[in-house]
This record gives sequence, structure tokens and C-alpha cells, in this order.
Amino acid sequence: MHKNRTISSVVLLILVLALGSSVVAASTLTIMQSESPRAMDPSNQSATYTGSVLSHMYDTLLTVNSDGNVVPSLATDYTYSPDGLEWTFKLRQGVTFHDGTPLNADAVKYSFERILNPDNGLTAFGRFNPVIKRVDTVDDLTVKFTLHSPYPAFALLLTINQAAITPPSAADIVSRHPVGTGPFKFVEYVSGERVVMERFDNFWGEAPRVDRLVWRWSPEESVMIMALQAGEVDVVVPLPASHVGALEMSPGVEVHEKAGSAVFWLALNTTAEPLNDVRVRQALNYATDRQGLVDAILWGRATVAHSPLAPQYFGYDPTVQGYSFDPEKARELLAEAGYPNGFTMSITVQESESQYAEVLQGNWRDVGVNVIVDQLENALWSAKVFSPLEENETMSSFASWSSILDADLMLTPLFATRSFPPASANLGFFSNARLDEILAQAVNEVNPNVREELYFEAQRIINDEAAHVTLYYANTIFGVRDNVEGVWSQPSGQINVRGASFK
Amino acid sequence: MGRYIARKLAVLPLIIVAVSILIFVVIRFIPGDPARLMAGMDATAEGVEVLRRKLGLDQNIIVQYWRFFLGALQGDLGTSINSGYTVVQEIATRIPYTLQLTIAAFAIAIMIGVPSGIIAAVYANSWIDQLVMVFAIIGASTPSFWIALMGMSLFSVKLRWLPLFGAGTWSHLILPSVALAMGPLALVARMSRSSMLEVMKEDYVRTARAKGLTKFRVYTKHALKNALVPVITVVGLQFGGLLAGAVATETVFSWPGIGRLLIDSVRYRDYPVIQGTVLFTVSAVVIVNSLTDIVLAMVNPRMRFD
Repeated sequence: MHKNRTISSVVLLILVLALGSSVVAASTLTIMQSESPRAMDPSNQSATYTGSVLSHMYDTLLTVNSDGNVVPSLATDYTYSPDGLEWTFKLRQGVTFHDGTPLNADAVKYSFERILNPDNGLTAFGRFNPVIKRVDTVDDLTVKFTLHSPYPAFALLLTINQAAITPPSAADIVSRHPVGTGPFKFVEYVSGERVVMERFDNFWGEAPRVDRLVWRWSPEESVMIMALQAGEVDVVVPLPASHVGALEMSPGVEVHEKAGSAVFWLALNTTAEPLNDVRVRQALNYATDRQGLVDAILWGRATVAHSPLAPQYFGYDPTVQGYSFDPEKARELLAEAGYPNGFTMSITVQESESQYAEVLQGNWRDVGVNVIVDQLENALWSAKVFSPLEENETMSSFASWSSILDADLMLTPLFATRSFPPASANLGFFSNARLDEILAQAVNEVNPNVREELYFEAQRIINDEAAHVTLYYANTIFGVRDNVEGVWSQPSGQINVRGASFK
Repeated sequence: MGRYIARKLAVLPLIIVAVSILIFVVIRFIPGDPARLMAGMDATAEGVEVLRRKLGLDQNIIVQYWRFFLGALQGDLGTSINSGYTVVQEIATRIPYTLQLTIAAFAIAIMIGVPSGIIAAVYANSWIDQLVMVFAIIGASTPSFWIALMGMSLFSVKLRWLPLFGAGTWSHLILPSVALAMGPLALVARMSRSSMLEVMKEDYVRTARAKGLTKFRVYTKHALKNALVPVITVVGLQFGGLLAGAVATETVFSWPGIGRLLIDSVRYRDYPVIQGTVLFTVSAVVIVNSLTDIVLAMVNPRMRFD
């Protein structure tokens, strides 16, 4: 008995070793984020962490790689007409969706027409409808987009999660059961618990090196940290800056950090007295110790911002002059504007952000400005700061923005006159005729050098007019177990584990 | 009797409908637009409008309610704005988990609380009594989420004995149910103790002792039954509270129960889920209350409350 068992174990062991690396135990990579996915339909959500989950099951025509460059994905090549109105894409051959149907021009056309149809009520409608006029198939593997007006950022626009290609065969189930062309296919979404996906064997690109991905989430920072330390999850994103120090000292864990593209600032209501006086706004900018704020609240893990654009954006001007920390100058400007003894104002913040307001409260007290912190639940904050001009009672609000890396998608929604809430997010009701002119011209400008010059001027205007108080660009930080490699993050915080594997 | 029962049952649907109208109206008056929250801060007004129309939120409130009402009659409570699952599916998936957690916490509270209280009563004013009561106070005053986090840190991270979060196996249930049980356990212990003390002073207890029965026999066979009556009442009331109070524990442990569903749906203003969950919970409480009243009335006609 005993001898038989020993012999058969030895034989088994030899067999296993003989089969070598092709016999691998099913490997599962577990990723934990801070919130649950908000939808299963890629064109019906815009949250970063939802995008992280869905982007492993779907592909877009073009994508942004870890170096920040736009590279082919489902489309291998594209051209655009000299007037910038027609963009033609050649599709990759031999790609199939998870349900076996082929990727072809009809599928791409269907995918975008689904978004452009207002009756479908998808959130991506608002993003693509102003840009795309129609989509046509030229042949089985060629698609042509006709735009309303020249839009040089179109290539970038096609890389966003909402531009994922969905197949016509999945029309009825796409809101609950993702069917895409990505390296992983959907297994289940257990509401409140996890999303599970497994390797798709017919994936067109580099095969994933893990068999399954399990996505989990927890709103509690301490739980996320403990889960990583205990090894119950392999990747944690986002990692709060306050815990990085502790984690760096934990065994078995690695922290990855890089400069992010999310911009944080304080919007100033430029129609509310005394913020309607540019000198007062400039004074507030001089009175702010940005580095101090970054050090105090973010443990130094962010970069001070002097421009409304983050450095990764097309159109960012590296020579732009911001406001130094100069309380003396601030007091001078305030006196000049008629407020030698300062004044009182409020800062409206969401639940978790009151510390930022408190730091500013401390800074500005030195120049005589008395701050009241107006802290609101998230949805209430949203309702208050987005209310229209006549009803808007916000004096200033702490806000952040992250979009695809083109200046138009950052500056127009935040500083154009037509972007006053509730139309878009110009929370400060900033209105400058020359800026509106520049933005309208630049969005359609096909020559990239001219375009860049225009955006440089736009940044100067926004800074000179002190439309807001620039604060910082947050770093994207995530944690991994040290036996995992191949994980990287977009500057927006969206994690990519397509190439992840266990060492 | 029959008329009493019929009256009780006839009122139920009216109560449920009234609650549904109340909830429907109240959440729509709270500021916060689900369409904008879903579309994201970077959505255009046009994009938000299109979404609002799809969700039916642009209709006037009576039309919205009517559609909800008709759907509810057919068992369709709407579809979650965020997950795409039907509300019924969401609730059905989560309810078993909340029940599991609540019942486990309950079992712990009773199995440890009752004996502790009884023992404390039997040895009243001794060091045993003091010890039990001190633990009871600590349990009652410590916030359950702190106990949860401390438990996780010790048992999951340092000792690696128990899983940190989620649900699925017995070991997943241990930490959350213990954390949730602390408060009720303390209350049950105190109630058992004071109730037992009361009963121990009764004449029939002294009679039994005088007859020569051992202390143990007297206390367990005769006194205990009567001592437990008020404890059962309190425990019953606690149960409803536990269902709601489980929210903090569910959040810390990522326990996929109904409390978390409600919190998340309120944060994102997921109207159908909020309506469905509140309606379901209220209906459950109302039905259980009515049934309790009926049972009580059947057992003791003097207790008819009407």
C-alpha cells in the first residue's frame, strides 16, 4: 500500500516535471479598488475605476500605451482628409469578439451608432455627438468617420473607455454581460462583491499571463492596506498618500508612484463680490502656500501646479509663470482693491476634502481673509456647485478634473463662457471674450504648432486673470505584492494588468 | 378573532402603498441629480439630458410613480441605474447575506449573553458579577467598526487565521458577526442579569429552595423560563435594529448585504434601488409586526391592540 502510493506519487511528479511549463496551476490576480464599478456597459459610465475593470474586456480602435503615446489597437492604421473632417480607419484582421462573432466595419459602425442614438440614453452620447456626424463602412475592414467640424483631438477621443467596440450580437445583454474583444472575458458580476473575468483564448494580441482576474473593492482605506499586507489581494489602487510610508516598510509589498494628470484647484466664483475683482483673485493666489499644502496633506506626493493644464497634456506650456507664495504681495493687492482688512468667504467642499479648505483657511487668515468651510455630502455638493448662475450660492469650491490629454477637453469645459453650469463645469463662471475666441479656434485648428501657440496664450490669460487658484497635480499611486510584475497605471489612475504575471 | 385578523391584514397593503409614495417623493426632493452623478462631472448638459430622459426622470412625478406602481404590481421594482440589474435581483442577491450575518450575530449575542447574565445574577455582587458587567459595558460602548478593524488587524493581518473581507465561507462570517454581536451581547447580558435577579426574589423560587431543590435545578428549571420572557422581547426588538445597524459592519468587511446596498444607492442617488430596498425593509417589518400582534392575540386575547 505505502510503496504503491510512493511509486505513483513519484511517477506523477516526473510527469508533471516532464510536461514542464505548459502545466501551470490556474493563476488568479486579485485587484482591489476603492469603489464598485458603476456600470457594466463601457459607453454608459465615465468613472476611472469602472473603466479600469471594463478596459480588460474591451478594446478601442486606438489606445494609449505606458509611454503616453497613441498606438494602434483594433485599428492598425488611420488617415484623415486635409480638411480634418473625414477620418478613415483600417481594422485589424482576424479579431473575434468573446462570443465568436468577427470584428469588422459593421461592428464598429454599430458600436458608434449605438452611442449616437439619443434614445439609448448612454452617457457617451454627450461626449461623441458634438464631434461625430456619421459613421460609414467603406469595406469589410475599413470604417470612415465624418465629423461636424475638424477635431484634431479625434484620435485621442477614440482611446477613451467609452469608445469601446461592442458587437451587434450582444445588443440585448451588453448592459449586464460585457462582450468585447479584450484579453479577458466576462464570467460574473456579483453585485456588491466582485467582478470575475477569465482569459480569452482567441485574443488578438499578446496572451495574458494569468488565467483569471478578480476585481474587488472597499471604501475603507485601512481595509485596502491590510488586504494588500495580508496578501489577500495582489494589487491595490488607488493607494492613499497617507499610507505610502507605512506600506513601503511592509515586507512583501511594493509601491508604484508616478506623476498623474489629475489637476486639483479651487474654483472662484468670478461673479461674486469681492471675487469679481481680479486683484482679489490674484491676492488669493499669492496667499496660498501650495507646497505646504502638498506636504501637509499629501505627504509631498503631488506636484505644485502653476497652470490649469497638467504637464502630460498637449498644449501645456512649461514656461508658464504661476503665482509664488507671497503673503506681502497678497496684502498689497487686497488693500489696492479696497479690502485692507480682508473679507469673509466660503469654500464648498465634498465630505472627504475639508482638510484642503482648512489649509487654505490657515494660509489666508494671514492676509485677513476669513474662510468658512462649507462641507457637503457628495451629491449635495454636486447639486450646489452645478446650479445655474441665477441660483448659484457657491463662492468657491474645491474641484478636480482629469480627462484625455488634450487641452481642449480640459480648458473648454472649465473656462469657456458656454460652459457655465449646468451646461458644463465652468464652476467659477469665468468669462473672457478673447479666451472664448482662442478655444473655439484651437479646437478645429489642424496645424499642431498653431494649435499649441493658441493654448499657450489661453494658459496665460487664465493665469493672468487668476480665474482660479491652481493647487496641484496628484500622483497616481498603487501598491502590488512583490511577486507580481507587469502592472502599470495611466496618469488618470486607471490600472492596466493586461500584461501582469506572477514571478 | 377572524375579524381581528382580517382587519390587521387588510391594512397592510395600504401601509405599504403609503410608504412607497412617501419614499418616492422624499428622495426626489433631496438635492442631487442621479443623471448627472452617473454621467460624471465631465459630461455635457446634453449628455445628462439624454440620460435623464432614458431613466424617465424628466416625466412629472405622478407619471413616474404610476409607472413604478404598475411595475411593482407585476413584481418589477425597476432597474438599478448603476448596475443594470433589476432591483429585485439586487435585493434577492443581498438579503441572504444580511440574514446570515444578523442571525449569526444574534446567535452569538444570545449564546454568550444569556449565560453570562444568568451567572452574573446568581453570583450577584461578587467579582464574577463585576467582571461580566465590565465586559458588557465595554462591548456596548465600543463602536462596532473599531472592533472590526482591530479584529481584522490582529486575526487577518498579523495571525493570518481569518480572511480579511468578503463573504463565502464560515471563516468569512466569524469576524463580522462577532463585531456586530458586541453591542447586542452586552444588552442581552444586562437584561438577563436584571431579569434573573427579579425572578430570584420571587416567592416561588424561595418555595422551591425551601423544598430542598438544589440551587442549580431551581435556577435553570424554574427561574430561567420566566427570566427569559423580557429578554426575548428585547431580543426581538433588537433584531430589527440589527438589520439596519449592520451597515457599518457590512461596509468595513465588504460584506455584500442589504445595508451596504442602501448606503451605496443613496450615495449615487440610484432611485430604483433606494425605493426598492426601503420598500422591502419596511414591508418586512410591518408584516412581521402584524403577524406578531396576531399571534399574541391568539395566545392571549387580552393583548389585542386595537
